[in-house]
Amino acid sequence: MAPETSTQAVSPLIRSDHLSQLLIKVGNQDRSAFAELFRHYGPLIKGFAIQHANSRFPIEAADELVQEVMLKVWLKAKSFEPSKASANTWVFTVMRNCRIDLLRRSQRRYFESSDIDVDDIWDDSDDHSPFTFLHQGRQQQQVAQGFEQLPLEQKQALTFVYMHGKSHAEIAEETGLPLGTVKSRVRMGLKKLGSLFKAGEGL
Amino acid sequence: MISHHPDHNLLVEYANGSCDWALGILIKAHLEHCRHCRSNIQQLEQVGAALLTAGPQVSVEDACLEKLWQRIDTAPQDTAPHAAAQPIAVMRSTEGLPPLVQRLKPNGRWQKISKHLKQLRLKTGQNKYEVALQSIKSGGQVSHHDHRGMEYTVVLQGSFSDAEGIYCTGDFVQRQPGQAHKPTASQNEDCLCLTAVEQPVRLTHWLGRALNPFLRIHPA
Repeated sequence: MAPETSTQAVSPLIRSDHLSQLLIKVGNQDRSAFAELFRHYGPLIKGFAIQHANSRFPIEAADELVQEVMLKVWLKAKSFEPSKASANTWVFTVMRNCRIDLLRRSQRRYFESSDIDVDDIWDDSDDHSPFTFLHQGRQQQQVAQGFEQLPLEQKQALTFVYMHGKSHAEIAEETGLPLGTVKSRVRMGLKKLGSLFKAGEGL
Repeated sequence: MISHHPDHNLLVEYANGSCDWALGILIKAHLEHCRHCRSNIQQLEQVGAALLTAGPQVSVEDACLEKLWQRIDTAPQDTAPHAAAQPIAVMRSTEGLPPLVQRLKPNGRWQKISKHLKQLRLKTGQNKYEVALQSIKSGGQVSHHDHRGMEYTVVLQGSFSDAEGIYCTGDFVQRQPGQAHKPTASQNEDCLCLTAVEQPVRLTHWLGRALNPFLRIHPA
């Protein structure tokens, strides 16, 4: 099958789904667009925070996490480039960085002694490979469906990794599973999901 | 040409934000050079996005948005721009170094470790790894050593080799206890590396072995 995407010129408008449009508007300080984004992502972020609450992120802090992430969305929306990331992926990275930042702030003496911050280490602003994202909207749907079909143990491992933000070693410690088992479950799960990417990638 | 990459698990941990701060710095330095890993990271982030958006939803009260508007109206609209990068003291040239590496502050001065090796410890804001720049003179050898903990290396300038391979600018090398080696810089230019070590190295030469009990690392 010829990948019809790889030969086409990539226009920034190609990522013109509704959420991306809203983010672009928020970049121009559009408040009603922001309110709509808040209504869309707020419940997802809160659901995430409650489902995966722990001693570092208690349930009571769920609204705070929503506020922190959405504040960053407001402040950083200008840097959102629809040709580089889907709105969902962009918001996921903002949320990930918020979580790293909140954890670091709780370890104050390191936080204060550092000249670099989370966005220096975890950003992708220097990347120029838009074609990776051509089919992102569709891929994400496939990935979400693919995730539901994974064997339970792989699903759990991936949930730990992504949602709890745990390292493989931490998961092994908490579940009592050998580190190698944790790593291979994560790897197998991602491999299955990864094959969903290949179709539209054109790389 | 980059041929050595962080292992897949480390990329996963970077993409979901759970890897150690110091390793994040080294991975980022590698990513500046490596399109392949950047593309992998993007895919892993897409998985994260898919899982987030497929997750449960819990309604957020209007008051939360109201409170956020108050914060927005009182917060500075722009995140403060970074101060211009300060070139690292005693570096001949920071040209071509990843911007993040240029922003790291020295923890002390360049130290001569052996005839061919100089080291500059860096401050990174964590306490698990000693992060440092290592400069090997062209053609120079580093003493044969083993590792007491993990050792991560990103080649920033030039290249070096050991019995297992040749490592060029951008390459990411992981060594664990038991993987002893004797890095040698290529003949044509000095080799500059960024390293993170969990534990002091273990020198294997009979003379070096006497020094092992006194080797210390200084995570910062």
